[in-house]
Amino acid sequence: MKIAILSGKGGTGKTTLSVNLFSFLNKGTLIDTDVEEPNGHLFLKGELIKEESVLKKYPHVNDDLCTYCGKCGDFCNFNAIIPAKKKVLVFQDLYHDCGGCSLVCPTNAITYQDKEVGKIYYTQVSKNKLFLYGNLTVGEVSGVKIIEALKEKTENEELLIIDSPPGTSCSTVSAIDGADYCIICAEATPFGLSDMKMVVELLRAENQNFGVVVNKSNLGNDEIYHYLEEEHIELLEKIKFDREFARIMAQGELLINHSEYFKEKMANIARKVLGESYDQ
Amino acid sequence: MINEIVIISGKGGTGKTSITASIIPFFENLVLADCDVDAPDLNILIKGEIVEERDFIGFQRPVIDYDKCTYCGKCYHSCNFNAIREDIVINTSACEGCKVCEYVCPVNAITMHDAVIGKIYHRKTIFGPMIDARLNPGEESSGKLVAEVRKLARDVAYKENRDTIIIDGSPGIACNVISAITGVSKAIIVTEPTISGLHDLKKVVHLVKMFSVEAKVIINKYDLSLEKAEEIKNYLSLMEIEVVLELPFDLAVVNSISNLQIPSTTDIAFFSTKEWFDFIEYLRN
Amino acid sequence: MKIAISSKENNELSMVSDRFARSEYFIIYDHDTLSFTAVENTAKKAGSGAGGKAVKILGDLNVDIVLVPELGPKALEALQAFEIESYQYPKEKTVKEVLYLYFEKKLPKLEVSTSTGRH
Repeated sequence: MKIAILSGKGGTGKTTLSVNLFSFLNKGTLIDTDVEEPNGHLFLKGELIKEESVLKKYPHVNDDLCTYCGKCGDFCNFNAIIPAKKKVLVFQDLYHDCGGCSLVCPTNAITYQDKEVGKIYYTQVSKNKLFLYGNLTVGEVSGVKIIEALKEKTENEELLIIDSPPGTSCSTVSAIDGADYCIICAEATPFGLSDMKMVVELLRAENQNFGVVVNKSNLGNDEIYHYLEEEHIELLEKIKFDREFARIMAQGELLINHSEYFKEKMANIARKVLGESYDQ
Repeated sequence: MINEIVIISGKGGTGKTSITASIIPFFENLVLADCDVDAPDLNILIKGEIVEERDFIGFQRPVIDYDKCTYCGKCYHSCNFNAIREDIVINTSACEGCKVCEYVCPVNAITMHDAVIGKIYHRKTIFGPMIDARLNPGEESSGKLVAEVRKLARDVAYKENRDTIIIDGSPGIACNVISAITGVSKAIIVTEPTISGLHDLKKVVHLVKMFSVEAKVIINKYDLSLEKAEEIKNYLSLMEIEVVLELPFDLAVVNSISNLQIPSTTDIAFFSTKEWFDFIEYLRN
Repeated sequence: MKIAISSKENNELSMVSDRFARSEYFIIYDHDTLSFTAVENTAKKAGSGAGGKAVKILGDLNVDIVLVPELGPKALEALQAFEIESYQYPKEKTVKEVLYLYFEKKLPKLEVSTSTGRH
């Protein structure tokens, strides 16, 4: 079963929920797909067992064959290849992997070479639990290739938790693709409700089953609960904000190890979403 | 010379928008620009009537003329993004707008058309004109959209003789943030005393230095971890960036937002302190 | 010799632009014919990589020198490839004013160097 955890805005506690829910379970795999700002590894200790490069291609121009006709530059919609007077500039981080420049080049001067766009790290958290995360190389614009690689490597996992990137961009769409169920992490504040609605719109467009966890539930107002009722959206749990939680998280510690209340919440969510068999 | 102030944060949830909103009532002659296009929240607190609404055109997307199409499949085979299915139907969410399909089609059955991926709004609020944008879900936020929001904000500022633009920037470090910070007079980075907060702050600082933007930092909710707040201060001191404010976590701020009130317009003590007024003075000059 | 200036509107009395890559127009001053031409900057419509495209537009017009408010990393690299010199102007001036400043040698030259890291 594949469960994706997402949120409209950052700071709603998505990573907190992902790492703590995962730690509560007795088996499974977690992937942190927020490859621009991966944070999960700051909380999960384990043994780093493997590191892999994720490659993308970029255009290479053979100066001997190039006639500076400029066709590649005219074709490219992303301004990744710019023929100048005596050389052809390639902005590797803008290259979108479409293969267009090579197609239009009349002298076959363009070939594609590999470049590392990021890395994937495999961490053994415990005997039955694996944690993978990806890191986008500074300067690269799109982490989608790394997210796809993370999904590919965990395609056959029996239980997969996907910590998705915040927001509703194409990185998020890529992360949640193929999920059986999505958990939206939301806040009961006016901003939180507004941003959650955007996620709901996205999940409905993608035909996903989903439910909501309201974090910091004692902050804010009741509007969100009215909305969930009206829209017939499942409210999985409400979790209170506690300054103590913030202090514990600031140290990189897991809340389930310090709070019975929080552990109980994770148990309830796990039971509702996964059924009895996955309890600790 | 227009005073452009941008407020950004590395990670989301640091309280950036609440702080931006709190600054607004202290300026008389303003234009507001909400460049956080993935989550445009400013208009929740600061309501306004829509004066103008425009479609925002992202990149182009292909349209197939099925009268000409011979189902040869060349487009399907050439697309590197699996955006054309084997039965020659376009999957728009996978499409990157590269035009390869248009190029390879032997019968010119494919043409690229402008794709509307969101809207830009010009609103009238009690604090002045506000420009914001909303992207359709699944669409990529871009430097282009933020640049257009900023441009419209500047155009309105010139037309209506307004001397300050306050920009609510996006979290993160991608080109939407770059478009939010280029050419500003001042950048305020909002951070929080957590591991993730510091981790993301470092990336934003790197970005700000690259674009030579004058930046100062606000540590929000600093009392949630005095240790981490100290760590952040030490890091910033090394980077020669000043911490201009340290705000304590205050439930009253959260409650005021829940009641759709700008925190600095309520009786929360912090907003009457010298510290706060000195900060506003700094922003004004 | 041709000098390009990023500009808000399409004539030499217009205010200069706040941004290079996404400026509305470039005003091209031809020192040999003492004439001004306005060129719309189509790079402003680019989703990303506007800097590189803006330089290409000027390079294709055989511009020798460009006067700018600032330069992003791609624009810098592209200017080097096209062998175009760049000088920085103060904002809130007209195109003609910054041109005079250039001839009076009051504009700092932007050193074209390879940036250490793109965003």
